[in-house]
Amino acid sequence: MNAENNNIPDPERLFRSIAFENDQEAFRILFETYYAPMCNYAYRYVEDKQGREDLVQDVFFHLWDKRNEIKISISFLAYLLMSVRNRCLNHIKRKGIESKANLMEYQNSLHCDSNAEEIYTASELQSLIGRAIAALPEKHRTAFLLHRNHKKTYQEIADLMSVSIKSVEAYMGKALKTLRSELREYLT
Amino acid sequence: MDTNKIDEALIYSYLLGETSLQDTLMIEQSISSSAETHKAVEDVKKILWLNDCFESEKEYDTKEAYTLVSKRISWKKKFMNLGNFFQRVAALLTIPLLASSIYFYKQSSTQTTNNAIAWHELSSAFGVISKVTLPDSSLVWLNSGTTIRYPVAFVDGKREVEIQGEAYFEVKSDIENPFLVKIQNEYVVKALGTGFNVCAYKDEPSLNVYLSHGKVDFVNTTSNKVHKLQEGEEISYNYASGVIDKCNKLDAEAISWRKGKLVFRNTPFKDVVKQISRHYNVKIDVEGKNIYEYTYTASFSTENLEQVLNLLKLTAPLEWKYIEQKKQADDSFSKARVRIRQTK
Repeated sequence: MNAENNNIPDPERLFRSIAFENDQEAFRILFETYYAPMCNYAYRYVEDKQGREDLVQDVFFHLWDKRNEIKISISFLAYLLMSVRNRCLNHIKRKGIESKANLMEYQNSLHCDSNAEEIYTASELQSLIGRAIAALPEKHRTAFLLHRNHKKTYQEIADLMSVSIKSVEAYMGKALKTLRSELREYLT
Repeated sequence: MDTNKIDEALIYSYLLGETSLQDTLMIEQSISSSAETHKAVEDVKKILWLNDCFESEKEYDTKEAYTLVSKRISWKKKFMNLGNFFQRVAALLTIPLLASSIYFYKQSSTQTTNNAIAWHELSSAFGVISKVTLPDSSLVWLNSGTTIRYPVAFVDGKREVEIQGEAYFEVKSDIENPFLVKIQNEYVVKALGTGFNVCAYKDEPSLNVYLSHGKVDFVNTTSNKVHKLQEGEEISYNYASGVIDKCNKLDAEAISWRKGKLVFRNTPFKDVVKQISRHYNVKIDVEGKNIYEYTYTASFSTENLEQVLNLLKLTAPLEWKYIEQKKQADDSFSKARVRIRQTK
């Protein structure tokens, strides 16, 4: 269900270059494309940002280090997700209850848990949600971004935009409504 | 019918946990009774998740992270022991029914002068067919679950390889230096320029050799008995009895596995299961004794596992289902498992 985007290099081909031709340039491209999405994916297991980043870097390092020995019988992305997940779970096991609580919290939160294996690269997200948000009417977009990305309260947003709180709520609702419509093909 | 309209603004408040108790109950009731509401809620969650992903991507300094990983790679390179020979074996990406090629690189071009020549050992994982080019540019196709051992270079014209499993060889012609395929250190298939198939899986009761074209001898090094094969002939040597108990004329279908085909010709059920599990890299449990009485004649090329099993269902009283895979602690994961049960 990933958005189609011709700019993204094919991960299968990249991995083949890495494994067969020791192509470190291909490895760099793979890393730069999938590092952030993997860190995002790891968030559902490990809250600590530094910890997450270390784990994902380990996964990539291991990928390069053992590139000649790794045997993969699924898609490369599925393999990458599996590696990240396993490393995260090991990490949780070692750290104990503290991280498990985060797992529970994640499942109860707004995060979409029904599409566990969806991974989007930065450029896929840009063409999907980035483009849709940019196309929102200015007031709706402003309220949406201030609330979601800048974590401002409705009161703060109302003050910033010189409108009532009710208006801010309405803007949020309309923004979501428009986004649902813009992304309806993706959302089925 | 809801008196309040459940719009996105309300759904958002609900997801934030900020709706009144009355509204919350109303919404939750609507979620379970109305598909429209359910979808609306899922849509909003999804949009918020996408936006969160998009936003948090920017939090990571990918270039910085790559610098760190790249440093680790350089450190490791510096301290690796290169030695005289540094051979690398490429990894195999498993794509069922397709062949992969394996290339070998020599880090240094020197060769050892003493007798200790390095040997390559290459395994074709289950579910993979691989093609290998040998030092004399002969070609070998390895079927699922096959291992081949051969030296880095064929010194003094000696062309010897060892295999366990099934492989098809296209050997470069060299009359003075026959090509030898050793099996379990006891049997040798000796060939001059030729194309032949050797099937020697450890878990099978016999060893099969099929000659497509050229000249091939099958030698039992313990008894020194030699059998010269004819073109188009397949022999079946039984390990237990020590004799060649079958000698058939076959056509090219016998080596169609090279092209990723699975061919059964009155094949007993037991062997069908074995071949399927190798070909699709899946563990198969069988329940029911009488099921083994069935034999199959069928040819599969692009079908996937489900299609093959469903086709088998049509001709024999059996049913099958997947069994859950187990997650492993390391990067690997257990094979898919299938249970086949005899039905009445």
